[in-house]
Amino acid sequence: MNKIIIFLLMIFLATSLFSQSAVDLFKKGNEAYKKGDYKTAIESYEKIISLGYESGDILFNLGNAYYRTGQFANAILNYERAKKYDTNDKEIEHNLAIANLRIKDRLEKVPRLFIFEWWENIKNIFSLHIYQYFIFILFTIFVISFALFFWVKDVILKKRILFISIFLGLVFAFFAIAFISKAVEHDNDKYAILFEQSLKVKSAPDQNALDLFEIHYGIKFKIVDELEDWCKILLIDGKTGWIKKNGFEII
Amino acid sequence: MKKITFILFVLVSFLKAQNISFEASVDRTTVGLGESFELKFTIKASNINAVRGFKPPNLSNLFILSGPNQSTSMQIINGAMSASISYSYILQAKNPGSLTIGPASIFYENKEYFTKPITLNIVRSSTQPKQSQTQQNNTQVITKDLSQNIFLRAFVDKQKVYKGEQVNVTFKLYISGVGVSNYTVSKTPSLKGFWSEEYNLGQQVTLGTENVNGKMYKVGTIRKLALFPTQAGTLEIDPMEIDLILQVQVKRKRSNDFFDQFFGDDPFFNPYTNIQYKVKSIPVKVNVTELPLSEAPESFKGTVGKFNLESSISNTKPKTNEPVTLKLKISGEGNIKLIETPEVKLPADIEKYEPKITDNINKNQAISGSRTIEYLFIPRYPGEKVIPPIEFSYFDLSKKSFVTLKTPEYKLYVEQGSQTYSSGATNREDIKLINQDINFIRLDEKAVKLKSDYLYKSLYYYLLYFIVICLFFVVIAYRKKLDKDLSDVVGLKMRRANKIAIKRLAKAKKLMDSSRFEEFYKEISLALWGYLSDKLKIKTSELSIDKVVNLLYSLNFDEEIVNNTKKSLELCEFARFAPNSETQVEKLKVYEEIKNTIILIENNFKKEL
Repeated sequence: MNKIIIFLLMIFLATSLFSQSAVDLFKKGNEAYKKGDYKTAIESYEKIISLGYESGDILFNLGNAYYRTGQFANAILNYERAKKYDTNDKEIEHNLAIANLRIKDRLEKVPRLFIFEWWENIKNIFSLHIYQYFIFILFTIFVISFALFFWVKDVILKKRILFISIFLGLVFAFFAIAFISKAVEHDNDKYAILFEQSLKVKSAPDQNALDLFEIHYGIKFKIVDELEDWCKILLIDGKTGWIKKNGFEII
Repeated sequence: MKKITFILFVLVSFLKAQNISFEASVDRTTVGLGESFELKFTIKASNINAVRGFKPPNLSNLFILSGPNQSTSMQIINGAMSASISYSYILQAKNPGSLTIGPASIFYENKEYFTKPITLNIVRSSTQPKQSQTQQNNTQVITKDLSQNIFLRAFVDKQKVYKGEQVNVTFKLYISGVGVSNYTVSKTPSLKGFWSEEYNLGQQVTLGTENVNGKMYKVGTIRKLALFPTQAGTLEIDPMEIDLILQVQVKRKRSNDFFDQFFGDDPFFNPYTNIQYKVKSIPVKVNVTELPLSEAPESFKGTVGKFNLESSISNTKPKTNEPVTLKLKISGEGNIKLIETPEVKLPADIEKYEPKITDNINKNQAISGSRTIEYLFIPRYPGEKVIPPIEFSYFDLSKKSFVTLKTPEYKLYVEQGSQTYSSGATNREDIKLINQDINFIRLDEKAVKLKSDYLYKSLYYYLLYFIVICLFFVVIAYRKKLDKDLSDVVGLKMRRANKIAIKRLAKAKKLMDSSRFEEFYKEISLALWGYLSDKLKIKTSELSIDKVVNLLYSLNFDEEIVNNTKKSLELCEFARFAPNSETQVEKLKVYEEIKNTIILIENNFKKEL
């Protein structure tokens, strides 16, 4: 029993020590950023992440530091990663948009039916982290209302509660589907940022295949298929093609 | 058939000939003996690489002073490349008389081409009187005096200037008593710290005369540059070097004074001796003063001189997506080429394009001219847009102060155009972002969080749902149990209602007999109300006559019973407020009536069960 307590205490101490150094690094990075020493800032933030810490804010700061040093692909990569933590964060979206202005490719999103856009927006109300709690809370509220229905004896009240609980059940089901589809997307969809200055996209996974178009440094694309050391990419404007598996970083 | 072949052959060879030209030329056909002249062979061909085996003509009856000098030039017009090679010789005739230079030959695409022979007329005395003639028998070249007779000098018109102020530097070649047949600039000054602009002096160097220390020189301006210092401090203009081919008179027997040779009376005719000679200018220093930058306005970008600013706008009432040009003309004296384009602060929803810049530069005594900057922009959205004044500042050299010029403020009244704007490279959001900076970093230390995996990927997440469902069933089960207990209590009450009522009625009878009417009524109404309360499973406090009636109806009691009950209840109420109003008999009647009602209800309940 004593041994276990000592062990737990040690773990607690170790983590708190680590976290202390991470906080120090964060402060150091922020100070360096304020002074304009973006290189040190990048090093500090990267160190925090290598220690196993990660949050939207750290990634946001790192992205900013990269932006300031002109490494726009890195900046975009980190903003995109930050977005996974803090969906719909105005500041991240703003900085990402500005960073995207600094790269060569300007892609127009393929216009989609409003209902898909709408569904996409519903999925992006929360980040996945928050979504999982949100869904659980919705479920709990629904169950409580249902339990209330069984509890109450008054016929009129019972009727009303039944109505409310059916409504809550539908809301829960709706968001649960959104959440599941978001989770599935998160686990299966791979997006990447190009780090190469320019890359010819081929029509087939073959070096001798036809060059379809060219993509440039900092562009975001989706990896939809993989074959040996080739992967099929999809740009947001709907263009697809094959590129070799190097020169990009998965978000 | 033969004829056709012949014609074809001629045609083909004609076409081929179009492809190449090979010509010989001399700079003049009548040459004085001892004068040098240039012979040039020029090959123009579309495929210059195919030109092979240049064979010069026999030049044994000529002195070759220099050559063959090969030069190649290439130009591309409308995508078609044409190139030329030229071989040039500097020659001098050996003997007077008529001289024929034979054909030279080249191979081009396996075909040999020839030049036409050139006939020259070599005359004994040159057509232009030459300054000097030499004796062939004495070839000793006097070089020690050359530095006195030929030298290069650099002059600046100002020693002390402001940064950005124009300085003219002139390189002059002074010659006295020697002939210069050719010169090449072998080293141009590097002009570190200056922006330079060369004056166009023309192909020919015009010679003037100048008296230097009592000696007359022929002076030729080799090069004239306008310099604009780009840094403060003492700047040095590097020396310039010129390689000359001099036609030097060799030492005469009686005198080595070159000057005498001008009036050379020696009737003997001899070729010149050509020697190479290098002249070098002395470095010149220029003191550059920094501008009083502390007083400089914000729009000052380093322009120095004297300028005017004019502006015009093409259209102040454009439709959306219609381009508008704002023309800015900066004219004056100074370094026009170094003028930085003044910035226009346009509203965010107006699309701005790279300005078009046209320069018009005059190189007279000072560099002057104008720069026209055409800003092109396209308003994308209707409304009133204001183009704020564009500022342009320069350092005025005569006033020794900064001057800021401003254009007027322009107002655009943009009307909605017919065509809708299909965004290409930039959309509205992008335009709005163009002049913005990224948001600042986040400083809250709470940001330092361990990277956590998603909870939904672990079993605990689903365990939570399971717990909630379990709790739900627990609640349901608890409710069921409560219901059961409650129904037990109510059931007991119901079963006992009859007995309680009987007890109360018996008590009421006793009270009536002993004439305690007030208590009698109280008891009897309690008996009825209590009974109904227990039977109907409603608290006494919640009961009213209407409610009882309703409930009885809902339990499918006969109308007669319900009416009866209602009447009894009313009787109870009434009697309670006026206990002494009835006689004994009437009171007995009330008692009986209520008793009957209870019995009726009881019986009816039993039937139901």
